Amino acid sequence: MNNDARLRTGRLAAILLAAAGLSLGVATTATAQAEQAELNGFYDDETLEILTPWSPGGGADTWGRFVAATLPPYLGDDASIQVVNRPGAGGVQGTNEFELRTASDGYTVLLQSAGQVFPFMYGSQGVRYDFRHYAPIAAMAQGGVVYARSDLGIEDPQQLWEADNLIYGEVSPQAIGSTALAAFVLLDLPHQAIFGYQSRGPARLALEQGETNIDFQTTSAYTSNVQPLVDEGIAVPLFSMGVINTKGELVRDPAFPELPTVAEVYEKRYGKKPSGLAWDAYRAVLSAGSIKMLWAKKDAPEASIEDLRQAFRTARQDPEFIAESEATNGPYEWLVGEEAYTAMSSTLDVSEEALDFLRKTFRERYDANL
Amino acid sequence: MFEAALEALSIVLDPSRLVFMLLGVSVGLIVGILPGLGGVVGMSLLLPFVYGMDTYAAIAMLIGMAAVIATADTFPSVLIGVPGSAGSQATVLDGYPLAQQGRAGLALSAAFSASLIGGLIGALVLFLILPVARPVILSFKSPHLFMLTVLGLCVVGLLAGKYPFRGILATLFGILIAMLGSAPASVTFRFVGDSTYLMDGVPLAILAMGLFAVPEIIDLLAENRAVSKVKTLSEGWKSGIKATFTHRWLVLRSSALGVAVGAIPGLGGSVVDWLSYGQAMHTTKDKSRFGQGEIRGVIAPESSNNAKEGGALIPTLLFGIPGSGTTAVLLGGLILLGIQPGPSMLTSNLPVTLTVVWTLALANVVGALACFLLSRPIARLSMIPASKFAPFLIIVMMVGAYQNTRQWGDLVAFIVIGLVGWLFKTYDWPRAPVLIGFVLAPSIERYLTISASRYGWSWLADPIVIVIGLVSIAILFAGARVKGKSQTREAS
Repeated sequence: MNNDARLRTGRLAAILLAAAGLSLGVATTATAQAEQAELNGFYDDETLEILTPWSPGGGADTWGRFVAATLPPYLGDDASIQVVNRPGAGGVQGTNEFELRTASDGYTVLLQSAGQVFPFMYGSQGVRYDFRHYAPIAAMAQGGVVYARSDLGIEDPQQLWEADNLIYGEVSPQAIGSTALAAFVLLDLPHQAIFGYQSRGPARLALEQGETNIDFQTTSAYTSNVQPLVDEGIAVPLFSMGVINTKGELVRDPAFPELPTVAEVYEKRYGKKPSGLAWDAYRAVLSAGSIKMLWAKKDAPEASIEDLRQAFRTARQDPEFIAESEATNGPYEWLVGEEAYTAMSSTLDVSEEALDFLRKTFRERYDANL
Repeated sequence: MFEAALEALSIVLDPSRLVFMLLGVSVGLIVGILPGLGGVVGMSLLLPFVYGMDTYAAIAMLIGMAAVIATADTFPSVLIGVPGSAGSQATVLDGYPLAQQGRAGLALSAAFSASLIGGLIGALVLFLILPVARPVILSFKSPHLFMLTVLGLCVVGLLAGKYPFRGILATLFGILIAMLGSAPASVTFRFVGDSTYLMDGVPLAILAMGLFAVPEIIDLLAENRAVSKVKTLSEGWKSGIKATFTHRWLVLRSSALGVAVGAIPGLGGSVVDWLSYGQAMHTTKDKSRFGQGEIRGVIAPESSNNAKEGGALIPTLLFGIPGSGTTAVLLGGLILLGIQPGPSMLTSNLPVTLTVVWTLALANVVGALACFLLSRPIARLSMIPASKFAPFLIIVMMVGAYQNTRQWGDLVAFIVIGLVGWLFKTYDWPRAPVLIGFVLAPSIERYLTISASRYGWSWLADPIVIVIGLVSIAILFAGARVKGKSQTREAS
């Protein structure tokens, strides 16, 4: 361990000791002071809270904690960021709280991920919020891969229609992986879906066991746990979900540049680019399921919203920040301000017809009421 | 691998990292002692500091915290009849009566030494089994997991006490509570009405505290006496350690059970203490003393709930699938440290895995020693009259309950369940089956749904399913026979 790290851990130790008495402490070491010429200084000596409507530990929480740990030097002098977990109702509870009870003082932003977006999109009971009333700060679209057991005898996505019994394991029709279900709808791919797995992890285990034979995993889980299966010859990658870029277009996943996207598979199979309701529905489900985003209240001080966006703009130009981000989040772009909204718009501005199409298809295929 | 293990030991013993392990251990001790707070709260406290820390120091801190909770949570279980965390509910059954008889010292020292051995066995098994665990875990498909949860339910038969029929009803009541909230495999919410609180169901920690702690405190206050019915603390600490060694086979069996149950993803560690208690009862000739202060009823759950942590880390590290709330947060911490659990934990990340193993072992030793030191002053709590400590305790429990979701619903649920628990206690209905039904119900439903929709009826013909089914029936009958015997004895 070098001296610098020793110093840092020593400091952390002191802070930790202070926090051990069950008070939620704040510690953020502002090491590298970045270029702050264009900041208003709204967050100098202040603490920004990221309201995270889930328990600690999941993917979205980890993304929020990455921001909390790495962004402060770009946000202001001695600025700090703290993650506040408010779990409940799969994310709806904490987001309602943001809508109804959080002050518009600029010191709290909301973390958005699949959990609150699907209930919002489908207009579920209990949803009191509307993302379109918030100011977009920054977002990241993280991809994922559909793969199959190699004993199915498939090597190319075009052979999927020849396989006699595709079995896919899922949590519920409204869960994050329903991206895969929406992709199957778009491709009009016959399959059997088994619902009830606790999360994507056990669903992956089910594929390894042979209980299912086709599966979807997000990039981080795919890289660490499916790639070894591919190397061993147990699994074959088929296609990626694609990611949505700053212009709102679906492009190849930078983590899997060699894999075709759903849209390419569609084009090859049907000889035309995907369009129409099924395509709108797929993009709505994809951005809902794959984008993590920070929102501020629209009536928060202008200076705070500007500073937050500026912080991300500065950070994403810093090679050091990007390197750290790639190590934790995968090789995905940081979308800031309007870019973030554009990426999310296929969900937020989805047409009622596309939603009805989705509801009808899911009811017919899976007997599910969205 | 042994060479690598020694190298990892030197990593762990580096003073700058040892400090962090001790820090984690102290947080774990505090969180364990305070009723209602468990591993998730401890992890959440430490998580904000993890990013940017030295990888091994951070792991030592997190694992150190998680390892000692199951040791420290014995204090409230024994001394005030309140489970210190979800993993030490069964300890209450016999540990608390011992404290009432003024033998808290015996119960605590037996529990700590059993915890220590259980924890060490957990770490050892984790080390030995990791290279070969993958195929074993993969062999449990949904129908097998379903049958294992059924087996867990059958243990209720052993715990129900004098009234088997009440035991069955209490189990069903627990299953009924578990039905509140979102249903697995679909997008429906059951019995929630307009409440967003109930959408996630009732938190386990609140149910456990409400059922066991509130009735105890009400009764203590009503009689305004201390927990201990005698004036002096008798029996030294040595007798407890001696008891653990006398029952060494029980310790080994319970630890093995703890590791096995902890390692199966989806079964969850929160019933392991009950399974272990049932097993201790089943293997003891004179069952009449269970529930009255039988030391075997303390040793068994305490050795298994520490061993469970070693088991629960197997699916977490090998597959990136957390087996409990605590390991779920640990997983988040590892990802922040740049470690993606998976098969690489046995290759490129092997030093990390071995650090986990060593920390688990060391933290168990340190935690048990600290508990021994703390036990003398803390045991005096059982001598204080209820009117003096109950208000403090109620506040601590309310705060603990509120940590679950930080909604007002937590407090309402705590009070309502507390009153129900008091009714159960007053009318002599068994409370343990409620908890077991509650914990197992989601898994039963989940795995039955998957088995039926994936395999139709054919899964019933699977040989492993049949074997576990036969064992379950045998356990049910064994429980019924025991009761038949004790009833005839009472009658004569």
